[in-house]
Formats: sequence, structure tokens, C-alpha cells
Amino acid sequence: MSAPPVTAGGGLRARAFPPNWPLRLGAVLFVAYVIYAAGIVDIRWERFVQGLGNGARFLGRMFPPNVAPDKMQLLAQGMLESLQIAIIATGAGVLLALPVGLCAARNLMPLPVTILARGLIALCRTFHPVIVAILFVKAVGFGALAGILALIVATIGFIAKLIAEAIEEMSMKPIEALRAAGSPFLSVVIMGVVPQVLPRFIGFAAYQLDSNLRNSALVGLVGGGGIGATLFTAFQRFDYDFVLTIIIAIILAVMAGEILSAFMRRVYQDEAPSGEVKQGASGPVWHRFTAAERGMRLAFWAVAALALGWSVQTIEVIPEFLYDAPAQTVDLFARMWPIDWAYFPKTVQQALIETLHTATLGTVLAILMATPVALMCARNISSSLWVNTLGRFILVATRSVHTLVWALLFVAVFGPGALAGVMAVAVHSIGFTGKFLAEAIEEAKPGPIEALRAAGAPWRSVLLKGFWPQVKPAFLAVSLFRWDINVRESAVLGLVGAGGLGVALQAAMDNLYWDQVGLVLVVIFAVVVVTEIVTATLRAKVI
Amino acid sequence: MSALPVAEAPGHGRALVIRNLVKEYRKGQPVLRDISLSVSEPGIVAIIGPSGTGKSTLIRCINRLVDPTSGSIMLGGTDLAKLQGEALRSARRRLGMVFQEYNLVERLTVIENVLCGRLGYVPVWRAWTRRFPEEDIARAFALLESVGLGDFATRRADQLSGGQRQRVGIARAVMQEPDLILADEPTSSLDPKTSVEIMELLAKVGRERNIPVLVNIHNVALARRYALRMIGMSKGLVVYDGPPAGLQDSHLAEIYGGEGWME
Ligand SMILES: Nc1ncnc2c1ncn2[C@@H]1O[C@H](COP(=O)(O)OP(=O)(O)OP(=O)(O)O)[C@@H](O)[C@H]1O
Ligand SMILES: [Mg+2]
Repeated sequence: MSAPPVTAGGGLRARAFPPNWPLRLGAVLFVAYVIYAAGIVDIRWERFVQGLGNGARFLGRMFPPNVAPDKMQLLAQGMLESLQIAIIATGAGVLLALPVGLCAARNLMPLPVTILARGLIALCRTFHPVIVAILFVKAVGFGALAGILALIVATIGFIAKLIAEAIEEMSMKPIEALRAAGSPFLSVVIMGVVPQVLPRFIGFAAYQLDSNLRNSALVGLVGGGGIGATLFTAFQRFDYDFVLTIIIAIILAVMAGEILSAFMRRVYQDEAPSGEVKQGASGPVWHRFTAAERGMRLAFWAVAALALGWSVQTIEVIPEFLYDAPAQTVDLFARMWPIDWAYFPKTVQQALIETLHTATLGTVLAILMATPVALMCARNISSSLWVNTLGRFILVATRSVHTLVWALLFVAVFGPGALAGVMAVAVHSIGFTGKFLAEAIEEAKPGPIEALRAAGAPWRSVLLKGFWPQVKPAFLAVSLFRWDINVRESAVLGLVGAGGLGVALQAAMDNLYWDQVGLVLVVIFAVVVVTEIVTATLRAKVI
Repeated sequence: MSALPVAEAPGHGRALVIRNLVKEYRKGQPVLRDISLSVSEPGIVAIIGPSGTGKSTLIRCINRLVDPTSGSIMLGGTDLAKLQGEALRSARRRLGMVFQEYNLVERLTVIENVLCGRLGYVPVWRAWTRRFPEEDIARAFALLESVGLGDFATRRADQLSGGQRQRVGIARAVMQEPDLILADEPTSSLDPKTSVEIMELLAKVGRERNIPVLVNIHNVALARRYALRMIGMSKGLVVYDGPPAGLQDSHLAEIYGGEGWME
């Protein structure tokens, strides 16, 4: 064995911790970028302080929330319409997603069909529901119909993908048996595919209903009806105390939806059920579900059918507009062609850069704010129930109010521009980022933590050397994932005046320059695709 | 293997004296029922006893990973059982602990894991920027060398075998410059040959640093071979305390109950 090193001086530390120059360079560049971008977006201390003053005044005008009877009636109407929008969009979207998902399943369909179906799914997923809503508003006019159509598109994008994945994961044995028996294609689907995929269907639908409920508050901001419309009107009339009432109502509704959706997913488990074997008249009979499960499922379908029927009956939609919708939509896209590329260097390039800055700065800020909240939530760090509960409340509250609604609030506080956008992205992301961080912290192995505590390490050192190395991979993954989402969100914030591509979109639409609208849409599409590729590559690298 | 670096010879004269220690996890159901013992001699003191008898609880009461219900744990004039906060933290620095599952921070390098033994001494900013004092780093390297892992310093801990990890765990404990080392089943996850090597290493640490090493262990033969003193526990009480040579089959029958298992 070699002799212990006797060298003193700087060499020894370098030997213990060889410097990672690429990493250091990367960190320095990133910090430099953040400072530069903050300058571009005009995040300055004075503006911030001024904003705080505005914010205080603003909050003063919000309190106490307005609960006058006429306002409550408006609130009830808006909430009801949102609920109807969500239910109809979920019902229709799920029905439409079924064939699309089927066509996208690579183990069932010929390649060209799956490529087409997958392209459609990607298109539905790429565009933010708000952008889709704004286009439908132009095509079919203001009101619930535009909102419903927009959410149907989002539902197809989400559910069809899940269905395709579920079909690709299912057992091929029954399918082969049916095929071997010479069944026609439709019988194969009905007898072989549907029974295998249907059990997971309820879980998907429950999740999507929850998500549509949130988004139905959103599409109204751009004219798609529901509570979002009520909220936007209240904003425009400076009825800030009513705004607060509406926001509280939305938070409560979202929380209720989340609880309901979690409950439904637990009762109707996503996974294939165990089933049971019963002694029938002619030997054992296997039932796919136990009697109780069958009862629950029947109840689910009954309630779903009733809710859908009620919504369709009572929602206020002018049917003529619906018949007209396909023609109008096609006409809208026709007007976008040919795209006005000249608009790019003039305005869109600038807006694009601003969008990217907004997304990145917002994510950085979100992480800074979410980390302490996550520490409050993690039960293996904060043992006080009060602190846990407060942390969880912050996560739910920030998450329940959509980025776009936050943007409305911050535009009122900081004035129009990217600063409001950055704040909106950051605050809304606290919930998501904090939740995942808290989970990662709680999953950290307790052994090493205990070892450091036993060595007498102060708690900050335990955090730094015990928790951080264990949480780091999850931390990077969550940050990247959130950045990806935030790029999409930042692209629409301009619709309420918070900077970025949305501003360019709004301007082009106000001027009825549809070829410029087309250009912005193409740019948003490209950015989203590139972002997804970048995050996928980075994720593979860091993990 | 080269000699362990002896900074100063602490330990001796700092006796551990436990008096009337009681621990109840649930009220009225004591796991430790009135334990009294004192340890001052350097070298391995082996604690044996059946599963669930409270060996881990005893060891973890000493460094207060578990809070005792009553009784005192004196070390060098302070009652560990009464300490809180900052004082407890300082006291823990003088108690090294070795774990059955090693409890290394897997995503850190070996050398940084060893340096984690200094976290009770160095300020947080130094730990954060990895600016550990030069002499700490030198000692960490020397310790790694002495446990035979000189070439593994910059490897990540999760790349090591179980035996290698336990050596790092011991180096981390020694890095604290402890007055006493506590080891909770340090060999239970290791193969027989590696177990012997680890016991050998613990004995050497005790000898060279002149400190007691309290070891929970299930392998009686291994315990006899390395311990200078054996403590037999049964049902939360000490039923044997003396040299290994004095430990008779009758004692073992009392500790573990029955005789069938002794062949
Ligand atoms: N954190 C705890 N909470 C409640 N009871 C505990 C806790 N830790 C240990 N116990 C109980 O205390 C008793 C003694 O446990 P301990 O781990 O000290 O035994 P042990 O002698 O180390 O056993 P082994 O040889 O299996 O490691 C057991 O009955 C155990 O169930
Ligand atoms: Mg134990």
C-alpha cells in the first residue's frame, strides 16, 4: 500500500475535489444569461418596489370579497356554465378520442394510418387550449361553444395518446385468437380491444374532467364563456372585490374537482381489475369485476350519462353556429395562407425571445420560491403539522389559479409587459415544482441523514450533504419539465398583456391580419417542438 | 495496512457510565428496563442478545438518535441524556457511529463521505463550497489509505462493494475524532470473510486510538474472537457482563433462551 500523501497546499484539495470546468463554465454562463435576461425583461428593483406598492393598493381593493346577491348570481351562472362546458367537452372529447387513439395504435393499424393519427394528436397537444379557444372564438363567435370546441381539442390530444398507449400495452392473445377465427375487424375491436382498454378509461376520463374543469375557467378569458368570461369582465370593470370572490370560488372548485377525481381514480382503478371466479351452474365462471365493482361501474356510467344529458339540454349554445363551425374553421385557416413571413423580423422575433426569457426567468424564480415551500411540506424535514399544512396550502393555492389568471393580476400590479409574465409563470409554477420536490425529499433514504445527524452535523449541513445529493436528480428533472411547460404557457401570456408571442398574436388578430396570425401560430408550434426535443435531450444527459 | 494516524490520544479517562437507563417506545412497555454499565477500557466491547431485545435501542440512546425515558448517560462529566440542541450536537461529534447498512451518501464521492465526519466541526459554508480545512483533507486521505481504500477516494460511494462501504463508514466515524465508537451490527450485511476484516479493523481503531468500541453483534464466535469484554442482553436487561472467556453455554442459554439451537 502506498504511503499516505504528505503534500500540503492547494494540491490536496484539488485532488479530493477535482474541479469540473465544464460544469463551472455552464453555471457561470447560466447566471450571466439570467442577469442579462432580467435586464431585457426590465426586472428592476424600483419596478418591483413600485409594484409592491401597487400590489398593496390592489389587495386593499380586493378585500373584502364581494358577496352581494347580484354578484353571487353572476358567479353561480358562470360556474354552472363552466361545469357544463367541462362535462360536454369531456364527453364529446373522449368519444372522439376513442377512434383517434385506435388509429394511433401501432400494434393494430397500418403505419400510414398511425402516422396520420399521431400527427393529429401532436397537433392537438401542441397548442395551448387558450390559443385554440381564441381561434374558435373567431370562427364561431363568443360564448360557450368556442370554449367547448377548444377543450374537445385538448381532450382528444390527451386521451387519444393514453388510449393508444393502453392499446399498445394490452395483451395480443385475444386479438390473435379472434383474428384466427376469421372475425371481421370491427368485431376484433369490439370483442378484443375495448374490453381490455375500457377499465382504464374511467381513470382517464376522471383525470380529464378535472383538467377540463380548470381549463374551462381559462378559455373564458379569451371569450370562450363560463366563469372565465365573468372573471374577465370583472377585471375590465375594475370590480376587484368581485375578482377575489371569483378566484376563491375557482380555487374551491378546483380543489373539489381534484378530490373527486382522485376518489374516482381510486374506486375505478386505472389498472386492470382483478376480477373474481364464481361457481356457476356449469363450472366456475370468471367475472371481470366483483359484484361491488360492477355496481360502481354501472353507477358511474349512469351518472356520466345524466350529467352529459343535463349539460347538453341546458347549455346556451346557438345550434346554427355549431352547424356552421366546420365551414368557418376551414375558412379561418384558409385566410391564414400564405403566411406573412415578413412579419417575423419586424415583431415576432422580438416576441419569441421575450417568451423564452419569460419562461426561463419564471422557472428560475419558481424554483427559488418553491424550494423553501417544499422543505415546509416534507414531513421528514418539518415535523410540525402547522408548517406542513401551510406549505401544502401554498402549493394548492398557487397551482389552482392558472398562469393566465395570475398574469391578469400581475399586469394590474406591475403594468403590462414581460415582468408580469415572469411573475405569473413563477407563482403558478410554485405549486407543481414544490409538490414534486417535496415528494423527492420525502423519498430520500433516511439512513445517510441519520448518519450525518449522529456525527453532530448542523441541520443546514444535513440538508446540504444528506438530502441535496439524493434530491438533485429529481430536482433537475422537475426543473426541466416545468421549463418545458412554461415555454408553452409563456407563449399565450401576451393575450392578457403579459408580454411575449401572445402580444404579437393579439395584435395580428386585432388588425385582422390572418396571414400574420398564421405566422405566429407556426412559430409557436416550432418553439414547442424544439423545446420538447431540447428537454428530452437534456433529461437524458442529467439523469 | 499502515497505521491509523493518531492526532492526539483522546479517549482514555473519558468513561461512559450508564445508570438506570429505561426506554419505553410505548408507555408502560419498557424495551430497556434499568440498564447500568460503565465502559472505559479501549477496544471492542461486544453486545449480544436475541433480536428485539433492545441492543439497537441501547446504542441509539447513547448518541440520542433515540430519546431515553429515564436514567443517565454520563460521558466525560456530561449527561448525554439531558442535552438538547447545540450542546447535543457538540456531544455527538465525539461519538462515532457505524451502521449495518453503512448509511453512506451514495451520490457523493468516497472522500467526501469521509469528510462528512467533520460536518459537526466545519462551518456550513465550508461544507457547501467543499473548502474543508487542509488538515482535514489530509487526514481523510490518510484514513482512506489506512483502511485500504487509497485508490478509491474520488469514486462515487455507490460504486463500492459492501465491505468497502463499511470501511468508508468506519473511516467517517474515525474522522470525527471520537471518544467512543458505536457500531450497530456492522457485519450483518457482509460475508464471513469480510466480517472478520471489518471486526479486525474496528479492533485496530480501538487499540490505536485508545477508545472503546461498542459493537452490537449477532455472531457470538466473532464477538468472542475480537471482544475484550462481552455484554449479554435479554429482555431489556444486562444478564452477562464480563470477559469472553467467562461466557459459558449456560449464559448463552439464558441470553438466547433454550438450548436446542446450540446443537
Ligand atoms: N422506533 C421504534 N418505535 C417503536 N418501537 C420500537 C422502535 N424501535 C424499536 N422498537 C421496538 O423495540 C424493541 C427493541 O428493538 P431493537 O431494534 O432495539 O432490538 P435489537 O436488539 O436491536 O434487535 P435486532 O437484533 O433484531 O437488531 C423491539 O420490540 C422493537 O419492536
Ligand atoms: Mg438492532
